[in-house]
Amino acid sequence: MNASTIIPSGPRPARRSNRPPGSPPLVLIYGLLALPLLFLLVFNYVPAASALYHAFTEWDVGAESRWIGLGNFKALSVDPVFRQSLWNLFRLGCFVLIVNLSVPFLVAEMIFHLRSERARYACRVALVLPMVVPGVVVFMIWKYIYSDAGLVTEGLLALGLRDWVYGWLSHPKTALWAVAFVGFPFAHGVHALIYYAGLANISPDILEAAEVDGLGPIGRIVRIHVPLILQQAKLLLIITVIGVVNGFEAILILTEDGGPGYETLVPGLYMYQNGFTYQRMGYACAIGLLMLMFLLAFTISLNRLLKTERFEPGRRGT
Amino acid sequence: MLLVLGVASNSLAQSLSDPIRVDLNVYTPGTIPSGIGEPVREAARLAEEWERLHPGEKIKYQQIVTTGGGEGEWLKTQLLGGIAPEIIHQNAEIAWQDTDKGWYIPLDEYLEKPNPYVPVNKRWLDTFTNQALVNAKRAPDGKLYCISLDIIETGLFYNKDLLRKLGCDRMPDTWEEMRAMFKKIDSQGVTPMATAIFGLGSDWGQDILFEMLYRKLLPDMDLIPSSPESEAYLGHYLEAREAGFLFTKGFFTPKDPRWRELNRLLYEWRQFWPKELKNSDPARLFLTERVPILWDSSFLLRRMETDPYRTFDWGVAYIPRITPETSRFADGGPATVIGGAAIQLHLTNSARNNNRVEDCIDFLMFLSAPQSIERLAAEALVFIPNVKGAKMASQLAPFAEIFQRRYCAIKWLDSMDGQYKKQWRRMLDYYLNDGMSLEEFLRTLKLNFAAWVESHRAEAGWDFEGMEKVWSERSARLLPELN
Repeated sequence: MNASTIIPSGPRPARRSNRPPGSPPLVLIYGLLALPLLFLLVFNYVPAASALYHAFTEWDVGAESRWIGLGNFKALSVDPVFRQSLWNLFRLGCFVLIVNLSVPFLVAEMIFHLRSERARYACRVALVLPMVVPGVVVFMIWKYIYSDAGLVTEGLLALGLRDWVYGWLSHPKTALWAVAFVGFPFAHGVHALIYYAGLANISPDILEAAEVDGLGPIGRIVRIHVPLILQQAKLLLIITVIGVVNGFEAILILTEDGGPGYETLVPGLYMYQNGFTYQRMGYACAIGLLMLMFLLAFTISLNRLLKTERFEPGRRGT
Repeated sequence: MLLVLGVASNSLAQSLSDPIRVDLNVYTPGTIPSGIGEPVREAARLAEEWERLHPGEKIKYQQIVTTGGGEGEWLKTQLLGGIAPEIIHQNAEIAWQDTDKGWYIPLDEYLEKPNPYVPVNKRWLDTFTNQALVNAKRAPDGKLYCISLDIIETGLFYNKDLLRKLGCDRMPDTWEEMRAMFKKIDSQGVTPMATAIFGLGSDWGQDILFEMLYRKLLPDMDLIPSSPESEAYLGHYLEAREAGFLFTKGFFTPKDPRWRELNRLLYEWRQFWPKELKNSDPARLFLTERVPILWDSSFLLRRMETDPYRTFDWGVAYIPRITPETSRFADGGPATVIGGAAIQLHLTNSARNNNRVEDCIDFLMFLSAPQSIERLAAEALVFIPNVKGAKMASQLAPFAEIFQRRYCAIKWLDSMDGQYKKQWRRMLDYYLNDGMSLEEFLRTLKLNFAAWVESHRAEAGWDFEGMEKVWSERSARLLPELN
């Protein structure tokens, strides 16, 4: 029997609308949607398209832009400042990835292993509370912590360790790591909660089975927890990489211009400086386009390489 | 046609009824000068008085936004669009970079007229106390785009009690004395001196050391003499184009021994400053007695007077002179000053666009009357009034005395524009924080200097040909000074 024998012949039945009765007319709905879509187009897509176009132009603010093809990209390929900013980003990124993916996981594990539900709740609240403090305030506090009258220097002086005192954000050897260390102890609330949600979603049957099979606490974490929260880890990895590549607010506040020298300059800040300080908007757009392409390539590659679905409970491995 | 006329007349009527937007910097109502005490209000009262004299007119104070590295991105965008506040404070040297764009309105024509708010005067220009200071703000095109309402000067604030405890009974007169004193203080575990690296510190340090090491050469290096009106104040001030030209002849490069010496001395001086220069609040370090000396400006006076942390007796001295004992290039003459004009009010293209030039000028005249500036200065307690007949607060007397010195021969960073200025600061910061050696620093600075000169040398105003003629007469004296 082939498929055609079971399909009834004759006129096709009218498509049934799945809209609930009493819904407003479609014209009205589309009409109302048009305005936000227009705003989206004007304020999001048009500037993005404009940036894409201007990446291939020489465009000083206030002047006419001039098409130069790949000129900006060629200039970037030999720009030592841009290279330095990439190197800084790489070092900063490695550090941030390691701590942002590992420490929140450890925090989530500790909360998950608490016996009292009330204690778990209190810990979750404690993780969320610092998030109400605006990031700018946090960076300002860290700036003060690193200052000559701040906690680190005053602490060392109190211990009689004057020779250990550095200009934490001013010295070329310490500046980047001082920036990286902002956020210590790195128990990021959202990250830990995402991990915790993943752990809480693991079926109790699996955990019981693991216990029956004699897996110890470390074994359970390595062989059960980690594979089953890879989906969350992937999400956090993408969020963190996007944050690290695009973000420069902390650096702008802490070292202002990416100094000393170019020791804390990252591509995002370099893009900002080119656009708004040097008024080389075309060059800035080219940096922005490179950042976008990197993030797209990274996200697509990660999605292809790390197929987390196979670890989901109830699915067989592929 | 009627529609066009209607729109035009409506737009004109609207612009006439719009308030005049004024940026008075530290005098802007609601501002807290020196970050302490009650917000200032006197400018608001003055605006009300002016509005009463001019029914229908309104003044709206609006402080201009300074962002990022203080390159004036916001202001430049506003000026470009012709929508900046009509009256703004801006350092004249920075405004000079844009006068050819028509962003600022020359005031010469109005300064020749009497100020109706001053009882007896023939010219508004004559009502200012220090004529040379006002004229020193003439742009390279010879026009005056701003009025200098008041004066700021820097000084070394010192904690008398703490210095006594550290075994120092007086402030140093020479660089050698300062070095010995700082070593003595440092050996007791105390940082001798604080300053702000971006502002009073390294860049202004370069400017002040410059005069002391180049003084002998300045008459010859000054290829374009200052105008006769500003000569008394500026003396042999080097304009950006002069510095650029001299660079092409080898000055301010690794070949220039004075340039090397200047930056070496600056580095040596920096070793006695706090480690974290960029983000410390130097005044706080001084007020909490962590450092006994602070290089700051009269802007700090208000804080010194009102800060509850300040419990000690203090005084104000000035930067010691460099003698031949320290450097073979120094003549032992006194250090020059660098502050000068404080609030420099410019009229922007918005005044012209909105047909408000005459009204703005009238308000400027009103503000610069002695009774007005005296009230503003007395409340803020940070600047010395520069208007005849306006009294000065007694606390400002040491700064008025310091101001009597000669003005520095160049302000390096104000001479440069955009990325070159930024790069200079960045490299100076890197060098002073041990990021690179003196040789590397001089080489980097040379590259930046060359790029800056290259970007300007073709400009008509730079007139390299004219300077070349003068140089040919003086090169025999100047070239032997290079290695």
